[in-house]
Amino acid sequence: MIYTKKSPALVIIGILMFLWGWLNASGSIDGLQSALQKSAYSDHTKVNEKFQAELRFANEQAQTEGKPAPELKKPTSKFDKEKAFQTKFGYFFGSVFVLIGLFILTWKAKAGNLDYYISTVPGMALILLIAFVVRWGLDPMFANWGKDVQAAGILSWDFAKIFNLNYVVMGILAGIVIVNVIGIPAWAANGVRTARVFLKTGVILLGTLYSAAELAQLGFLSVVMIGIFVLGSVWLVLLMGRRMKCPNTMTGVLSAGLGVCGVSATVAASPVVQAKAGEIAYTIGTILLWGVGCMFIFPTVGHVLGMGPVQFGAWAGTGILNSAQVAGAALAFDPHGIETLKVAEIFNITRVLFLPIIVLWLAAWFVKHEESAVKVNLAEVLVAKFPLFVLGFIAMFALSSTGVFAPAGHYQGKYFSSAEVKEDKLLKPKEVRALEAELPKARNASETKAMQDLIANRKVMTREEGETLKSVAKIEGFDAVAAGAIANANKAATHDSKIIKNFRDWLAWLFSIGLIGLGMQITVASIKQAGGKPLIIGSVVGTLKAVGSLVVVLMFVKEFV
Amino acid sequence: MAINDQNAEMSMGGEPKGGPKFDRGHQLSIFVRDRNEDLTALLFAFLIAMSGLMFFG
Repeated sequence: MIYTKKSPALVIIGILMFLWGWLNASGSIDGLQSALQKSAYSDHTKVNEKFQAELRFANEQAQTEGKPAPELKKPTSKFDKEKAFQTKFGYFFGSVFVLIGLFILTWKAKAGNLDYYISTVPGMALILLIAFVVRWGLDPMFANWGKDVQAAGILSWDFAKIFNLNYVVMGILAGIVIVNVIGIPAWAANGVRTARVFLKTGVILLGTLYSAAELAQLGFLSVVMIGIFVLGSVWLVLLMGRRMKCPNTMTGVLSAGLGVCGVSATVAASPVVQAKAGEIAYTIGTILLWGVGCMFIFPTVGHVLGMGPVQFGAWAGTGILNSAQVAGAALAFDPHGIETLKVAEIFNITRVLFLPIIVLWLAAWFVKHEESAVKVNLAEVLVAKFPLFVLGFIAMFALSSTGVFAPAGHYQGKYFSSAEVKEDKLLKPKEVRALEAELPKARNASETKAMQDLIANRKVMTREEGETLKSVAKIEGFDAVAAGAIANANKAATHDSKIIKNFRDWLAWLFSIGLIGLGMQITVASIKQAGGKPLIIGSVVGTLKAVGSLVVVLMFVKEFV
Repeated sequence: MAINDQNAEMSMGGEPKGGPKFDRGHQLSIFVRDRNEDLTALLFAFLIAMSGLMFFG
């Protein structure tokens, strides 16, 4: 059988990509790019203005000294870098696809491996083209739109953030729209199927973003509380799914989504339990809608019960499923303080860190239950059927925990290091003087010591001292310059690992491609087939988790942070 | 022809595998029945991790 279909589609896709690269290189679409990448463009304008001023000054100086005008190198802004990246990407993939497309048009295909592999290229190119549009167009467009609507006072919240209208959700939506409106053309069919390999690669790389050491830094209470609720929710969904005779694939993916943290957990667990595309979409839809409801109900309940910021943060971080919605609820409850948000984020991070355990659990659960119709040796089945990429994810998590990619205590690449504070980021004499004047305001020995260390070293020495100093800055009547100095010192000691940042970029592309391919497999029929049972399970478990965590928080969590 | 109408399940290995006859709409599990895809994903992830360490480590 010949798989490669003769079609000019790949050549056209290649030309479009090449054209995008050229338009970026020539500056013809700078107007569009500046509207899409607002923050990068404002940074670009500042960099340019600064450079022009420096150039003028240097020219004037050279003129007065009678020397020739100096040659200054224009610094590259984030906006320039992004444009250069899009240019290279467009040129590279554009030329590769045009060449392969011409080859397909002229080649007399013969059955075999070459035919099979070549047949996957047009579909992959189509997905990559859609990924371009989603990542470089729709994602920033909605992000800007959400912020503008909020700034204009039409909505009090950022709808793009709350409804998760980022590349993840929009990639799936784009795929769904294409398959249901125009269908997948025959020339793209094979390529669309290979999209899942990118999803799996993304899941493996996801392991690099977390480290076990971060768990140790989070505090006993959040770990125990989250552990009970995460594992409890997963267990309950698995139990209810079996009782209600839901397919194991649906139950498995729903348990990860409801137990851990919404969208990314759903994506990570989906290949583990062989979830179908429709089931994944169903789970993500349930979680997001549930989260939006919680975001409005939680703050009201919190105020009615007179909860403090720590209590509310702990409750929102445990009971709400999606990270953006946790932040949304925390800010809705306490728009001016960061205490609630901080606690909610700590609980949220703890939950994400349970992901490796859940993935392993689900893999074993799924293999066991899928094979239970025929009585077999569980160990043998596990060895034969266990999804290998899960081991990759665990291995990356383990490697990340040892500190290969970034210092062991990092979370998503961010870590504390006093030794790496640059010379120009040390506190200025004016800031040191302001801190010295505020020294008597320290309330205890540890605060005094943290301030003295900061004054002596002009930088924060340990992560604990950084935390202590943050609470010092909030003392009533504390000098603004000194508080600013503490914020600057903490910022200077927090670093972002270049490797992990690079991985995060890769992850975004891999997930974009994988999820667009996934969306292209979601038809209306597949959603209908999932039926109403998952929704019932989702509502029951979601409510139990919200109420249960509320009771536990009210009983055990005091205002201690 | 839409992707949903195809009956044969393919693997990354090259040759089509004779899969079950699927109903329209829900047939494409994102899991593949052999391990080739997992191995490919592991290889890609390994290459990305190594290049990250080489260029930014």
